[in-house]
Amino acid sequence: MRALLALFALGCGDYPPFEPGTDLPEQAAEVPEGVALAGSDVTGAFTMAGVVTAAGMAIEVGFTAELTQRGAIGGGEATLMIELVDGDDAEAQHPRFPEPVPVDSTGAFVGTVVDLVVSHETANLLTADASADVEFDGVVLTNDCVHGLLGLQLKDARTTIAEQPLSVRLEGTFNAIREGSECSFE
Amino acid sequence: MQLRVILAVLVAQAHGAGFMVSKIGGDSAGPTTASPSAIYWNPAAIARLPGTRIYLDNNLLWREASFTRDTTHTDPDGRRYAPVELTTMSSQPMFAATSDLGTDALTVGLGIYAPFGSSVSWANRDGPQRFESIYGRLHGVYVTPAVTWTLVEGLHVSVAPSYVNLLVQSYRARDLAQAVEARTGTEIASEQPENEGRVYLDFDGHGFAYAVGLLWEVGDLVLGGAYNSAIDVELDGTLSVFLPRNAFYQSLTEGDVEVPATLRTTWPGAVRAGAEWRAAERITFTLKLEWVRWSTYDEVELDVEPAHVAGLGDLDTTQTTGWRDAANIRLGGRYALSPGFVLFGGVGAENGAIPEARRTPAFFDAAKAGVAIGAMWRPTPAVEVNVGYTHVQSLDTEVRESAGTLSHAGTYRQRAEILNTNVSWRIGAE
Repeated sequence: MRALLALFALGCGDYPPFEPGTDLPEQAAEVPEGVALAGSDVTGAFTMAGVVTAAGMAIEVGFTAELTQRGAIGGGEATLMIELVDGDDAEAQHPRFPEPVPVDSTGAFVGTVVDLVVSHETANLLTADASADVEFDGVVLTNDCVHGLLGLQLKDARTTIAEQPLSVRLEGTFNAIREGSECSFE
Repeated sequence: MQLRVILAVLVAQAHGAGFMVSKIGGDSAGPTTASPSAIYWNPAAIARLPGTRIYLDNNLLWREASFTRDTTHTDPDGRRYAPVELTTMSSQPMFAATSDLGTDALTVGLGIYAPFGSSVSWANRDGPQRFESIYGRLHGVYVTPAVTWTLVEGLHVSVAPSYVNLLVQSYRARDLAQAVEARTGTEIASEQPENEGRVYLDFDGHGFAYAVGLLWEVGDLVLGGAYNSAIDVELDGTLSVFLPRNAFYQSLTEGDVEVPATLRTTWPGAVRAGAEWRAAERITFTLKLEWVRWSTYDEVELDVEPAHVAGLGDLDTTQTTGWRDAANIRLGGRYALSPGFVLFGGVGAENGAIPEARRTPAFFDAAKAGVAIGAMWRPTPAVEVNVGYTHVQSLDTEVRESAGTLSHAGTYRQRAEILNTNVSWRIGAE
């Protein structure tokens, strides 16, 4: 087919005049600003701050979390464990991912911390302790910074605003910053 | 990551009005002209050719263009936003043969021709045009048999199916900043070198079209017109994505990506009409009109298999062009210095197929005007040689609004010089 084109189209068989892709310069040390290097490792203690929305009202939530990364991002086998370590007893079993979740080559991960206890003493609208599943849909940006979407599934909570136990899903975003570091999520 | 591949299907340069390079047969040819080039313009006009003829035609097209982009970006190396220029040379040949088969009622013909054939290769691949065009090539070859019947004396009808062979190649830069933003939620400045990759499309295939034509000779007046159908184009090829050469992007897919793909679109149909009036023994005036329905070229669909590529997301895309119909008018005349030597010339104008906001360095088309001169020489009764020269000047050069993801407002300048040469040889006695 291209022989016919080449016959009637001057020089058709010789193009493109260069090998596609060869004009891209090597940029060994350059990466997009705010984007994770393939070698990022977020293992360590983080302060996680989130904002979720309920009935149009923004509600701030916060955790202290221990992140554990296994493997290298970009290596194809990286995993991440998030354990929420709030509480007085550091030795106690804390809410965490049931098992480490994979981190893809872009640093993205999705995981759910199940049955986090939300103390009524820390939540104005609760009349008793409640249970919640916390979904993280995040991405590792740097060694010290993680950002993403937050889903808070409150289960059978007794509140001051309803007689019957209330189940509700709240959604928002979260920023996780390694303790002692600074991140810009602008 | 969603990597939207903006198609750079270079329909540019030709395909009739809208790009003003319908120059098969030179400026002296048209829907009423007694020339084998009528297989392209209006196949009914081959009825004006007695006997058997062989015809060779070529347009040598030289194009000069420049682009100065309006931008607020800083230029890190003095190459990325400096004005760029382009010079191309392309050839659009035609071979044709016609014969009346010794009858008075039937004329047949066969044409093989490349009504559009062009390539662009910008010398500065890092220039301000790079996100729309670094390299592009479009070639189409038509194989068209034609049959013309003479219904009554002076009235002819014709039908001409075409097999169309196409090649499309496109290479351009792709800014991945927005794709990374969408994935990470982090704002990243656009057009940064570290986020710049490349996309290459390479397709070929074929399609089918048809034309029906009518020619009416009445006294000193000849009227003719033809309808050329649209072509449903489906081309097979590959889509290649070359990621920025840094650790982050190379980790996305473990290297560059090349996937099979199918390109679908509709190439516009056209209506061509003309009139020829022999005002005096030595003087003939011509009128040519061309209307190309570029508005039917409204979608370009890229179907990638598999649609989802790990690390890059969905590569399937459908692009709307926003183009409009284009019309072209040309007025010309011929003066016979002697029976064997004729001078001809003409002027033409057309609107552009592409609205201002849709113009990019890949698709320059705007309103333009042209002027042509030439001569026909008949060295023997059986041989006719035509040489013509046409200058085409783009008129509307300033683009102040841009509909693209990255603005390509700026100043576009373009002109084309076309040298047409053709020879027709009649076989056997008249």
